[in-house]
Amino acid sequence: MDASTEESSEEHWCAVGAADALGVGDALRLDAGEHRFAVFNLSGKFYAISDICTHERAYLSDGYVDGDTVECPLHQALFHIPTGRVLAAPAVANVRTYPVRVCKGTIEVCVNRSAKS
Amino acid sequence: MTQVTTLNRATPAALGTADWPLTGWDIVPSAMLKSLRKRSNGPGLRYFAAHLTALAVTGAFVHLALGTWMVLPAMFAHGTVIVLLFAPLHECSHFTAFRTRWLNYAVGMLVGFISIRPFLYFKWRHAEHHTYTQSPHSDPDHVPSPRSLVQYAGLIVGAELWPKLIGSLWRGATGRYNAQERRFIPTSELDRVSAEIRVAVLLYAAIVIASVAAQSWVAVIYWLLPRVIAEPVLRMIRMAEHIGAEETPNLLRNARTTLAGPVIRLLYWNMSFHSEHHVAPSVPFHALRELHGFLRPHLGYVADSYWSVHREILTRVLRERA
Repeated sequence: MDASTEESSEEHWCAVGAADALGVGDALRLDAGEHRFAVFNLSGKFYAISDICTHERAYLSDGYVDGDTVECPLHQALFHIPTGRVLAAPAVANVRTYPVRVCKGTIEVCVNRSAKS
Repeated sequence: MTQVTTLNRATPAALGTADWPLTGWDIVPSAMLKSLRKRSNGPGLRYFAAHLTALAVTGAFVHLALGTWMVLPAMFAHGTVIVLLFAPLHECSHFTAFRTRWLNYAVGMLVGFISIRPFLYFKWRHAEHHTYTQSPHSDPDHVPSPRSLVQYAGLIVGAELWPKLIGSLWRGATGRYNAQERRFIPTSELDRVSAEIRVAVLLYAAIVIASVAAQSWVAVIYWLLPRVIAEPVLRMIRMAEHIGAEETPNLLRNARTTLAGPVIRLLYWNMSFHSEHHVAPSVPFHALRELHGFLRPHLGYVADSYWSVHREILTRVLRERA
């Protein structure tokens, strides 16, 4: 897969798996070229954010999910999953969010657009 | 126009930094990890209450023993409970002592003050220890194996600890952090770390002034002296956690788990399951025993007791001398 995350006129949606295979509070880590995404199931609603913590190299899809937040597994920076907003140090930058939709039971992520928060 | 393609699940990737990529953390199945790392306030509050009760009991022993030779063992026991407040300090620094984040800050700062180890400074230093565990160059808590009895004794009495501790208070209070500290304290957090240290130093000064003015030895008898004389207990426990383990980023082999009795497990908040803690730092202290059940066959270093670890370290020292 060589998807670009640069915004272009064409929407690039990627199918990431069956919606019913991702349990509530679970996360998926996905690769798209050099980019990594984390897809979360929060009470049946799906969200996608950039998987790499904005502080240091650690995967938010491995983080501790509590409510609508995820805590980085390495230094406990806290992010709000639906908006990507950083809630606690050491990270100071938000993580990028991506639009998610479910088509015929399959989760799809738009990898070249930011989600509207 | 819309294009839809299929994306594959990523393969497990490295954690940490390019020069110290941590491995072994992905051995725990994600479903197990999810179940083990559920947080709640109950266990932390119970352990903290037990710790405070132990402090009150040993403090009462000191009071009853005043004026007799028994005061020294009583102070040592009381000091042991004080220095083991390191355990809630450590657990709070991971935000795993309690589910409620502010409770971790509140308890962490309280026990950090009593232990003379400011919480926020410890938190960031400890995060660096987890990122670079056992890296001889980058782990701020890396302790090389002692090569002589003098070095071993120095580690037990904390010969380097006190100058380091006082130095960190001075640099934190004045804001003159050294290069290593500027690496592990995020820039955005420097002011907060200094603020906590300044408040602590002011309170320590207030205790000294009040004690002198009232000609009172209470702070020395019930806090300072026990805390200082019992530090070797904590040194001995902490030496067992990494000394002699591999100096590699392999989390299954760069720390040691020591099977401790129920008193140490209670007062050290299960941190004797140290390898398990490094493999999954997001798992709260109360679930580490269960994690140990799964991880034990995969761990490189599991000791039967703290005595056996020190016997092993001393044997190595004596063999090198011969």
